[in-house]
Amino acid sequence: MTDAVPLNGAGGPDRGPTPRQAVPVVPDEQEMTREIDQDRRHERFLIRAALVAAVIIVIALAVRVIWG
Amino acid sequence: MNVLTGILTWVFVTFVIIGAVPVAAGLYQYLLVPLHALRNHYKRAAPYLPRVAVIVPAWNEGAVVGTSIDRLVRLEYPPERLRIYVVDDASTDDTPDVVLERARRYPGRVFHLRRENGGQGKAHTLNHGIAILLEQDWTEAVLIMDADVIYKPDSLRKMTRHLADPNVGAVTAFIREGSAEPRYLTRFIGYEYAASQAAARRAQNVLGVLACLAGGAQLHSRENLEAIGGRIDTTTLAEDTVSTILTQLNGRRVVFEPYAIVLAEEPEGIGALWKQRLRWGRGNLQVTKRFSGLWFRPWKHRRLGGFSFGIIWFSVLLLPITMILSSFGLIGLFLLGSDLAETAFRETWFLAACTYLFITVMTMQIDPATGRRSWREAIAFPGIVSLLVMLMAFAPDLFFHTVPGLFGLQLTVAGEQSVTLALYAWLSLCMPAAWLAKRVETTRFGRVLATALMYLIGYGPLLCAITFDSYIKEFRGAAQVWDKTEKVGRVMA
Repeated sequence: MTDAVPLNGAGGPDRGPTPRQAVPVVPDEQEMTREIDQDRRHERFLIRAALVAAVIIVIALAVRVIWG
Repeated sequence: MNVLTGILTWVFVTFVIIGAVPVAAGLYQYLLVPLHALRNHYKRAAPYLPRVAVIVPAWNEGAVVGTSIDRLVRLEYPPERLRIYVVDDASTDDTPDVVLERARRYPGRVFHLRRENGGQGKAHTLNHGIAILLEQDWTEAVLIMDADVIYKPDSLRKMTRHLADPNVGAVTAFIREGSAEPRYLTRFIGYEYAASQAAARRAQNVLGVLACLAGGAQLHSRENLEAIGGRIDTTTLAEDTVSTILTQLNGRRVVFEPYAIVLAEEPEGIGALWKQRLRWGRGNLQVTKRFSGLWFRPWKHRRLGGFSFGIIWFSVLLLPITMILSSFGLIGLFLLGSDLAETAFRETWFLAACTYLFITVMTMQIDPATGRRSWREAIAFPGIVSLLVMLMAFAPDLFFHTVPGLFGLQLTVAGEQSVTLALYAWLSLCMPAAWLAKRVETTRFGRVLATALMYLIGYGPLLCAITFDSYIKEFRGAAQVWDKTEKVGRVMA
């Protein structure tokens, strides 16, 4: 779900930050370390993505051989 | 005569090969993307929260700057380590009022710096702020951004973690097109950003060299900013690229952080996009000239001067020329009556089709949110006509015989030759056709016509046409005008 943000002068009177918009908590060092590790590991999805793309290329090649 | 024909044949074949180089370079770049799983900067990243001074250049940004500030103060970053300096470039709207109100609301965190004699452009505005920030010992890092972008709450700390490595001089984020109600053009831009940033900049991380820090999200360490002269370049229209190259020439790395996401509002009309990209295109030409002694000279700088980076840089810069050469080569071979024409056409477009498939499938997976939002634009990125040409390269019989046969028709020899010539010329013709889309946009039925033309001709050819226009403007020495991209002020968050 998206949350459109009305801007100053464009979306009615500005009432300042609402309680929902309170300053988020800064994670502690341990949490940030875990986050770095998580992002590093998440990058492995790129290999899967490349494999999917490669399979599609192979299908294209096969189509060309059969059709062309 | 035979000798001349032989020479011309080789010249035309060379043209076609040159035309295929950017396509191959594009494929090469995207083949590097999966290596980011193994070769990235996360191993050297660490929790690090330096004192960051944010510079927001603003000229008549009253409609957007307030929300940008509100978002900045709510970043997941220690409040005592974050200060926001809005450099007001002699705005004539309510920008000063908005900023001063925020300064009162967030005391000690938001500052209003006014330039009374403004209008010189973004780089001058930034330098006004940087000079003040670097005078203060407080500043440990400087975040340069645009007034209209919205940082996701975790984006800044995801950028600063790379500065824990003293070898890193600057970090950039993923600028994602973020209009709440995107029109067709903003969806094209959204897909373009996913492909050129989220995907391609990962490849540049793998190569260890970045072409450009995004103008709306560039975090510099204080040491780096001082090392590149303590100021932003004002001589070109691509000050971001100059900072990026100078940082790397000074021996510091520039890192792209894909998980730091910054939402930006982009032009909704072709005319506004043309102005923006013309500035970028001319800037790139100026940068190429300024660092002319660097390209393809690894002994000057191992990575910036490396073959890989050079070929990627010039493939983008010279793409319109290579497209014209390719068409010229194919038509030349055809007029010589060479069988090589058909072979060259089929192989070139087959390579283009494979590259298009690979890039599209990779990009859609790398940024699924944009993929869901812009899947039609991802498919139509090269244009529906170009997709048909790719199909022709796959199966020429389908179009020359099978489809006409379904209607009981048969193409004459002259008809076949005309279609063939049109196919060969399309790589060049698509650029004036894209220019036509810009022209019709301002007419009575412009919106409908321009939209239809953009899907038919493609967004990629539009960018090539703009690059070609940048050659003309730069060659003529047209005035360097900083055309501000107009924003209406609605991004999603």
